[in-house]
Amino acid sequence: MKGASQNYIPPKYAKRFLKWYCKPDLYEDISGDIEEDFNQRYTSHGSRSARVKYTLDVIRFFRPFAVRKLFKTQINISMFSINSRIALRNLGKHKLYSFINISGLALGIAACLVIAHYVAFQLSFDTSFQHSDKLYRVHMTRHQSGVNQGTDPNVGFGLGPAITEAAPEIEKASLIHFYYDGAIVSKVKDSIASTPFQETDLIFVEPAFIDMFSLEFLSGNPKTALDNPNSVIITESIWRKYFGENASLPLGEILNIDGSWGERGAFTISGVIADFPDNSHLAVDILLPMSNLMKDSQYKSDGAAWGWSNFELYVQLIPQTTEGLVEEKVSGLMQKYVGEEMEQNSEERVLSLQSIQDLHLRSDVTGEEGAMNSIYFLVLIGAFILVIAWINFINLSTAKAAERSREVGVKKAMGALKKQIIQQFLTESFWLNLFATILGVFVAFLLLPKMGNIIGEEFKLDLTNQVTLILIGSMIFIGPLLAGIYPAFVMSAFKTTDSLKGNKNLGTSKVPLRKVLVVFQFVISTLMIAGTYVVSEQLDYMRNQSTGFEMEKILIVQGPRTRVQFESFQKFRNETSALAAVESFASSRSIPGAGYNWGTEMYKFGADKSSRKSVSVTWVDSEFIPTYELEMIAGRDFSDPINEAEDVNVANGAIINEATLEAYNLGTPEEALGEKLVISGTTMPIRGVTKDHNWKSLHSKITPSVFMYTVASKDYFSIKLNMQNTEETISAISGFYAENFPGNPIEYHFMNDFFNEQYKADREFGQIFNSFAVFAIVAACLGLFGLTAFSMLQKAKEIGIRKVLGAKMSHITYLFSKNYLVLILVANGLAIPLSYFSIEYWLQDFAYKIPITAKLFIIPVVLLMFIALITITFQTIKVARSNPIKSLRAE
Amino acid sequence: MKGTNLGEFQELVLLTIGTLYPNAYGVGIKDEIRETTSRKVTLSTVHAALNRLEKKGLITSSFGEATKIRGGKRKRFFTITAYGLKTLQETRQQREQLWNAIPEQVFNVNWQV
Repeated sequence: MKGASQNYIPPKYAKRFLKWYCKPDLYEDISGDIEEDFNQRYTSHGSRSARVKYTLDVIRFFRPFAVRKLFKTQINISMFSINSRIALRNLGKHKLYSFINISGLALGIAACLVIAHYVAFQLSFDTSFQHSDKLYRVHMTRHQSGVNQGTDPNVGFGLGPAITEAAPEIEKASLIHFYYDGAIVSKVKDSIASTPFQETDLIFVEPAFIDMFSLEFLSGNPKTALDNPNSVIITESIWRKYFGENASLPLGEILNIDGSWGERGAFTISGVIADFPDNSHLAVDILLPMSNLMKDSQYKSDGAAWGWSNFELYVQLIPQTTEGLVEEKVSGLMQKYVGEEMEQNSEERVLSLQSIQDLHLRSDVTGEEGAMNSIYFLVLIGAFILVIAWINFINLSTAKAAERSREVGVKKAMGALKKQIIQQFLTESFWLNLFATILGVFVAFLLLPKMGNIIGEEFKLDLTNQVTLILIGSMIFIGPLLAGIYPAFVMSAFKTTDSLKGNKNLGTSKVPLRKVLVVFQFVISTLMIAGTYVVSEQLDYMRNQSTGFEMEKILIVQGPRTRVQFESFQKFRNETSALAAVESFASSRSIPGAGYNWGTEMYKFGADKSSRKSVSVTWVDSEFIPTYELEMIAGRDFSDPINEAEDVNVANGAIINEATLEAYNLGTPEEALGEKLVISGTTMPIRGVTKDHNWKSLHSKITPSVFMYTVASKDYFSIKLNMQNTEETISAISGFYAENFPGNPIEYHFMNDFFNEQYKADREFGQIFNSFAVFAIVAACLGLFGLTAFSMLQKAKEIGIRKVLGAKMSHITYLFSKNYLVLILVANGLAIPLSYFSIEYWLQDFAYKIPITAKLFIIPVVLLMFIALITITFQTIKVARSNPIKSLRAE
Repeated sequence: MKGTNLGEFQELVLLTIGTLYPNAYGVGIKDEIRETTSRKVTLSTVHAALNRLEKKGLITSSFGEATKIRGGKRKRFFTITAYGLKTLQETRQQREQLWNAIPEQVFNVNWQV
């Protein structure tokens, strides 16, 4: 009152909470009173105090009189609380049993949560843009004389305008062009450039890109940000990197961008955007206007619009259309624009669309990533671990059945219904699952950051995540049903008289199911071990496989990104070569593991043009082949090059690999030396033939490839060291580099590290697989441990009598381990064929793979047997060694 | 006799409802008690007491008009029922009987100490 008629807005969540718990008939009164108090306090004490008070009041009202029945359950509350008490007492009484059950389940739940998180992350790729579901990338598939030459996203820039004209359903389209090899970027203030950084995630885009990928502008005008060809848009992180943590938004500031695309030099910052999402197939830090790139004279010539196919094209469809409809309209578009050329070459180019949401996991078409398989694998593993844990629960509960039978008998004699017994055991299962879930969430909380480390992403347990919440909820409410229903039925089915008589064979007559479940657990465990083993073997194999060139001793130095004088390069080369530890110095436009320079078509001179096939070309200097110790099986390398010629490429000829011989019918290496090749229209003699070598990772087969000669290149320097005083040598090289190429930070790797970087995804998969395999095995062993512990307990008397009668310890151990050993053997028998198929399936991805030998199966089997044996004998020996008096006296 | 037993705080609330008649509602009762007794009473304790009293049949309630300050919610006004009044009077009588039964000396001695 007191004139406090102003109406303020109370804290949203507190209000919602009140509404949720409050009895409906009291709600109006209570909420009104609290709100009145709040409004008065707001005027007298201010917003903060009032809001705190409001929240406190809401919490204070959470009392029995005001709280409605929150959980409408069929279960009678009092019955539930009695059952709970019995359940909790039971859990406390059988500590080992509870421990095994809870920790096993917790492991399973943790594994599930972690995997769910990872999978959700992978599936979330490219879904966070406002128009994600309408964005597509245009792909082109080439057929040569009817033979599919592969699909890729590379198109000519002419397609941009052409495609929107052909299909009005395309609302927006943006060509993009990557800044291959990266650029050197520095901030320019008062004409003074500050420390330069090397940036790789620059991208040329058209203005439509801003809207299509819903870039969020922190500053600048999204409508005009890319209109000026010398403007640049940067992300928030880049802004902080160059302008400091507390800098104001740097609109109008100048960045100097120096690299091999577009214009070099000053760009004015016209916009700052929120960081581009991590979970996208595009990595974007700096956006440059496409109009800048197009200034290059090479794009002005006739036919450039279709000839330069280093662009990619993204389109946004209108909501009313479908992918298929648009695809139909555009698939034959190339015919219209370059039909004549295609006909001459008896070639066909077909366009297709792929949703950007599928690019991360399902882009097998273009062979880029396609990791859907490992997602399926992981989901399967997560499910397996959980199933193992539930099986533990089922096994242990039924094993305990005999012990609980008297309790059930008494209850039934007192008139308990079957339904009530079932309820009791389900309640017990509920509590177990609840504890396990709490523990599991905690374990997942600890594990997720570690998992993030492996794949290089920041992972945290996010309890507000829907998937996580659903999972946790189902673990608590559905888990108990799944795991508890069978034991509950077994227990409730006891005949009252039998159980009271103390007939101990009650539950155990139904052993087959328990045995089946144990076998199942161990089949999975064997599969997991086999999987882990194969992954690590295959990785070792790839790393140690001879690639056909020297890997150990070659230091790769990335060339300078800025324009440099040829003299500085020469000076750098001479200085470096003069070092005692340097054996040779080669420069090339690409190196193994970094891809080829040029993918084009080629046919044998004299053969029909329609026999063209794709080939990959790389330019290397005269030192390259000797430095990498590539073996020439015919002809010469580039050691005596001709540097003065009208066309240096033709004058020096091509060096081909063995795969080319075969693919183009060139006969023996010696015969091939007399032949000529037509590469993209230029006829070129064959100068030499190298032995096959793995330019790319061992995932792919060796394809036809050609070396061409270049005098020198500033892209990659390969320096062969004699591996003495390596550190000093590298620091000396760094010194020369800084001196000759100022403004370029040096980046170097050893060849084998650089090459093996290609196996990063495999390695990550291996590590993740490995850790979860450990989870599964631990869970399975926990179960086995519990089972043996229980059967030993039941048979304590028998063991006592045997000992009294003179049985040896070893004999007793053998006698009681035998049963389980048989089970594990059966499991192995089943696991071997299964693992054979899965191993074969996984290895399909590799062009070079380990042979599937007996070793791959024997080692996991033996290992698992060993682990299982330790688990079992640990228990049996303990019992067998115990004093028989102890077990016999107690009656 | 269970129903007639009033807790101390309940009695306080009941009396306050009487003093505020006919405008006794949650916040008003709370403010009044705070003012007269300078106790730190919270809304929820008042409501809990009101709830008990209504269940015992000592008070009854009806909704008033909605006001802006309450976020458009109506006030719930409480009045003492006949039974409530009787209980109050009984309590008072009990007290008075006890008061009267205290010997004179008690007051004399105790005042000095």
